[in-house]
Amino acid sequence: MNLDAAMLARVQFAFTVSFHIIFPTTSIGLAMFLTVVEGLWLKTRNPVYLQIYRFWLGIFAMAFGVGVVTGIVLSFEFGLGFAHFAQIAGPVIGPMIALEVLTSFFLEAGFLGIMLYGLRRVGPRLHFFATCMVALGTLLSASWILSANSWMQTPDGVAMQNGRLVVTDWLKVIVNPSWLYRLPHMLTAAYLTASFLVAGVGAFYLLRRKHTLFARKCVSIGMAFAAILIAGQVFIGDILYSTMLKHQPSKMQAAEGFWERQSQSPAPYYWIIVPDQAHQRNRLALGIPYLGSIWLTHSLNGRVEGLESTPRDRQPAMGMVFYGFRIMYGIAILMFAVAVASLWLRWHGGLFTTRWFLRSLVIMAPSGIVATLGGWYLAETGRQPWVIFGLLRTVDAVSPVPAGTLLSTLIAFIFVYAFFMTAFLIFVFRMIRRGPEAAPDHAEASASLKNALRLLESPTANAVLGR
Amino acid sequence: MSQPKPNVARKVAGVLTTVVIGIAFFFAIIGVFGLWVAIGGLALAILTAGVIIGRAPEEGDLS
Amino acid sequence: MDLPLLSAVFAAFSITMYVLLDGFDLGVGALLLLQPHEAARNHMVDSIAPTWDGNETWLIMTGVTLLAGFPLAYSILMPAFYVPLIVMLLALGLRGASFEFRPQGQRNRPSWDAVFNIGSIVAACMQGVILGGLIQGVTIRGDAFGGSVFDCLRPFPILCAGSVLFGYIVLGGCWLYLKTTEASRHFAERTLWLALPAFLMLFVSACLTAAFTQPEVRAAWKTHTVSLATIVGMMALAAIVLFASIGKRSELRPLVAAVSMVGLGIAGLAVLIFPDIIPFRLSLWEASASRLSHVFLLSGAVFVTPLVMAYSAFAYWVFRGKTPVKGWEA
Repeated sequence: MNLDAAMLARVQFAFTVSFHIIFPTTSIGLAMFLTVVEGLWLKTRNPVYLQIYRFWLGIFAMAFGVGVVTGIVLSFEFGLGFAHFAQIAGPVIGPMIALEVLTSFFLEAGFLGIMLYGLRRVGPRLHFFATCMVALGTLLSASWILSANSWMQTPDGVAMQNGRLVVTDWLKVIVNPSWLYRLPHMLTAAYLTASFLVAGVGAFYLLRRKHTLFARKCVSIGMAFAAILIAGQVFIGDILYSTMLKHQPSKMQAAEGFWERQSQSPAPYYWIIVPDQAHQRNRLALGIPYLGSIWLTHSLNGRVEGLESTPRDRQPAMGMVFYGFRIMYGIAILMFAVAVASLWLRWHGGLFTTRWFLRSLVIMAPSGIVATLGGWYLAETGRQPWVIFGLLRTVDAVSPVPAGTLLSTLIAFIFVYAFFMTAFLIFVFRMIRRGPEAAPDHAEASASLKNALRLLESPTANAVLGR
Repeated sequence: MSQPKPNVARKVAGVLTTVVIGIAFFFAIIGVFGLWVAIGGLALAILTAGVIIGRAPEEGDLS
Repeated sequence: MDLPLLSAVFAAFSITMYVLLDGFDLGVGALLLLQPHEAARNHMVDSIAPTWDGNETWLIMTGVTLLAGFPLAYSILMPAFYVPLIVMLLALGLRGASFEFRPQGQRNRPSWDAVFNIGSIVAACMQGVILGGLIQGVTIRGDAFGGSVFDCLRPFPILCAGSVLFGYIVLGGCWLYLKTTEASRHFAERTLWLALPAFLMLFVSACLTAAFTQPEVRAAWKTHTVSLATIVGMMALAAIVLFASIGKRSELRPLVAAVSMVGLGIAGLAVLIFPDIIPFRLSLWEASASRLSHVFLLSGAVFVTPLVMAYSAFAYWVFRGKTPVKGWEA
């Protein structure tokens, strides 16, 4: 690997964006979860729901904060590392991101203060409205940025004039060929991430027989959403796959691990490969026989298109694309299995007491984050060598900044971000160890959040919820 | 009352059936049998999940 | 309709909002370690905690408006100010993270106070360095940045860093004066007595240095003497009002005066560099994107900004009055 300016700019962006995506994925999911939970509290006045809300609000706040600051970095990093890309694509993605700032960043920020600090200053309905607005803001934010990124993957609605890109049709730019499939896919990924996170923490408490009522609700709500969402997700994923096969064949060819133009028949489904890009072959390839044809061509003996179908100077690096995909898809299969298990256990009454299942939930707690990262590595490394597919190559998009400077700032980012992650994890684990606050053993139909919270935090309150 | 053996057998049969049904749903939803089967499979899966969740025990339900 | 001009107006509006709003946030942060009492520090941070995120968002708005409407300027300015921008982003990141991490425990709070403080100071200084570097002049070759990333690390930009830092401290002091009570408010008052003269000295030095070392600045003064002199005069008036109102009955007046003073400073800057978007190098029309990009951007700006202002004002209203000494949870 040559550590020139182009490679360093790419590594720096890859590092900062990979780090960043962990947090909004968590925030988008938790914001929706908090909305559901606060809504349930308002409807039932069951103090468990307020307890759940307060607990997850703390984790949400930290994830949101880190997401905001690492996100600001990205909005400048387009220009910092890829000035030529900014010059070319600015007129297209710039207005979209501007609308993202106007319609979602400000919305989240405007109501986040009320959500985090206004619990004792506003009535429960206004506070719920604030929570809804923050969740809406995260949703809109995802929509806009997915549109911008999807435009980079499947550009449309632009024309090249005098070496500059000019927008000819905004509708085609925003509703580009892949956006409508990638958006639900990413949103579902975020909601799945939160579902497994919540269920995992609940399972953790159940295994230790602490905060039982709180934990049962978390596992129940988490796995209820997870079960429905994972079914939808694999459906959307398959549709998206077909779309990308049409618009970015090179990506899907790299993703499956086949080199020859037409693979053997029947084709296996590879799970482990050691690709050798220089010699256009795999040194090692292990997979499940027949499954490739079944899953990828919906027949028993279909052939799959290999990466040699793409000219060599337009091939992405197979290794990262393949493993990004396998990690994402592998976790999806695990999620599906866990979801089916949860439904079976729910039916037979062992959802909260089956220890192997609870242990698996704890392990699966961060699975959404890992799967999302895998998916994004598939998306971004699979688009290479293009930064705007078919229009601009990544190497041509780099800033006139010396490699030494890029390396120093990359190192600075690694240190500061490592600090953020360490602090974040320490505090999250501390919150989990401490557990949710106690709750009184009878529900008070409280008109004010202030009173309800006072009851929740009263040191003499006898906790049915178990402290 | 009932012997342990038929209970274990029933449980194993139940688990195996669930595994097979789960795999069938997965294959259907990811489109192995075509788009319409996928849509139908997804709808049926969500419906089934909804029914099972709705009938959940007291401590875990959404009330 | 001159769409690029309207987009430039929006960008100017956006940066003004940022400077005024995050200005007092960063100012409060910069003062944090000067306040020895932990309770008072909590009070200070609490006063800006509910609204800091929205304030900081105006910075993103400015950057993205540049990307959208003036991509050539964006693509030159980002590499040109690579070093101060990255340092600023990291500093803002540390400050932002501190908001969320600081309340997590008593033991480490002094360390987080330091992170908060240093992050705020460094961010403010970097913004000043960028301002100074812009006035000093950016080297362009063709349609890309053609200088060195260290060009902006020179005496004049560093002087500007001091001016911006103390300008923010003045804003922060006025904010604390309005929003806090007891120890913090007293602290704010004492700060203003020192910070305002410091800011004025640095500001005047920076203006004079700019006029002496940058011929384009002199030329701009010659062309717009009346407007610029008026602005300077009004700034002086605002500074006097600010001085006179510290310690008096109206707790709002110092903040209003400070905001006016800083706002006028930005207006003066705009007059100085108009119609350039990269001062003295590139006009806003030269850097502009094509028409449809401005249409989209401005449609969003015109229709959505009023809504943003409305609910942002509402958020400030929810947290109106004095910040509770025991925090928002009491």
